[in-house]
Amino acid sequence: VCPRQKEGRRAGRKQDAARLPASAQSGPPEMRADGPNWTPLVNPFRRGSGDSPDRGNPFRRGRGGEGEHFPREGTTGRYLILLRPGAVETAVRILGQSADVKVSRAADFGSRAVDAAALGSAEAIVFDDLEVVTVSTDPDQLLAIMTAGARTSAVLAIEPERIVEAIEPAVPASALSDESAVTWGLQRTRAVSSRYTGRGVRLAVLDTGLDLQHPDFADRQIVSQSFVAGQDVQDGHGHGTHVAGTACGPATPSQPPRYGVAVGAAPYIAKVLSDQGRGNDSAVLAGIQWAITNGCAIISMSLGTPLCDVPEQPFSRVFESVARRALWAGCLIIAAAGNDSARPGRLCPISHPANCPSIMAVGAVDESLQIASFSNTGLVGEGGQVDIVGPGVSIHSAWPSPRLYQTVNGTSMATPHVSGLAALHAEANPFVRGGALGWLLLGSASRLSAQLRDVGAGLAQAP
Amino acid sequence: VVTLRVVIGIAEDYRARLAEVVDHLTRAGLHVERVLDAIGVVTGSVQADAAPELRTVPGVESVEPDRTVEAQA
Repeated sequence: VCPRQKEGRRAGRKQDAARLPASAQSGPPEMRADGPNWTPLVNPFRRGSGDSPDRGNPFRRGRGGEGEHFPREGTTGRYLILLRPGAVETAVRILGQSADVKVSRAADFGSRAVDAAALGSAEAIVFDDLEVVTVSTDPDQLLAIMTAGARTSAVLAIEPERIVEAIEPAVPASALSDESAVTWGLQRTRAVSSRYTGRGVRLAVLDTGLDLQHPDFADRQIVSQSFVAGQDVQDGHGHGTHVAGTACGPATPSQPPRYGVAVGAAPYIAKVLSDQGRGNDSAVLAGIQWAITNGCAIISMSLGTPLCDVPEQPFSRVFESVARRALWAGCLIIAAAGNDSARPGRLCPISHPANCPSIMAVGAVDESLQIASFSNTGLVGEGGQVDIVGPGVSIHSAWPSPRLYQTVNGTSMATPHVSGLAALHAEANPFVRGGALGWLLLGSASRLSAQLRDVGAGLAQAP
Repeated sequence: VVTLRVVIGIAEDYRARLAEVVDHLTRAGLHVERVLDAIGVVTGSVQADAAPELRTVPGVESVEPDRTVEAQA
């Protein structure tokens, strides 16, 4: 429960290169046939259409008036011709005879690699294995090729060859984020650049409560309830204020940086953990019921029971049934995977109740998108998988007065990032709730090169 | 005698008759703490020797110990 200080802040920057798509790491890029979709811009070869040869031909010079430039922006001036299977020899003949194009075979360059300089000088290069031809020719000559192709059915599609570039990492790998205005977690999940704020979405946080006097929540409409006997919602611990701050802290806190994801969401604060940071299943279940009956679309639970010492223990049938009923009621439960691991030596399974299949289990990554050393993992045959990860190392957020702010680590911190992002998706998609909302979170997550069992679908992203 | 705190899951087709199930659980020895009708759960405590009896109550899907949970930071 103690704040961990700045662990892993400067560790491991090497994964960014590995995240580049393979196609961007080996060239030349002009040779790629897997990138652009082979959707013909037109099909000029369809017989019997009654169209004139020029009608709908995007390659024809002069169409579209004087504003049109050749080649088009983002294209090389060359063309990619997709051949009918088995039509390579026919195409070579057409190119050589009908259109008088100088033809080279890619195989002739040897060792299955084409010299980029040679590419520039040849007029047509045939990639036998791909059944693709690249042609550098003017549009009139191309039209002759197309006409010949139409007679022989050798050509399936012709597209302008696009200029492709290596995709740069969204954040430079060499620099730590500037957190003067916005926390790294909001930057990496793109919460800060989203047009959505979770407006109108009810987001329940089940934890140690909230500092109701915190200046950052002073003008916020907050619905709250305590399920801890003898304690009110006022957070006497700090954990609850921190996670609620991450999930739905304000757009403009009393002191920068901004740390809240769903700044427009309606916070529903259920105190289910005591001021000592402990609680039990029955209080959590009571909090879940309260959130569902209040129409919350998301329940964020930065809590759990470690299963490291009882790894074979099955997930709770009660919580699984409850989670399914919640999904049916349009409510997605998101819970912390747990902090019991100590990489590289000790890996612990997902905690209860995040190990239930119908509860979204959240692991933690650091700023360089490496798995946090403490983040629990999916262990084969032992129940429970990490579904998604969120920022969970060196997380700045709210803390009860007089401290006001604190930087801590944990899957507890990752969880409200994902919950807040869920609220953004819920606002963006008013008819998507329950399991479908979870599906949207997983589908839009940014895939990571880390181990699947550690990070699941990857880093949650804002819509 | 040891008293156990338990959480009890109620089968879907018994949720409409939850009050009956709760009555039955009470007679079987459960001291009911909460009836959570929106999620089909009953919580409470029971003497350890009576705990197996709860599983035989019609409509009871699962009986589990009320575990301790902690903040994950």
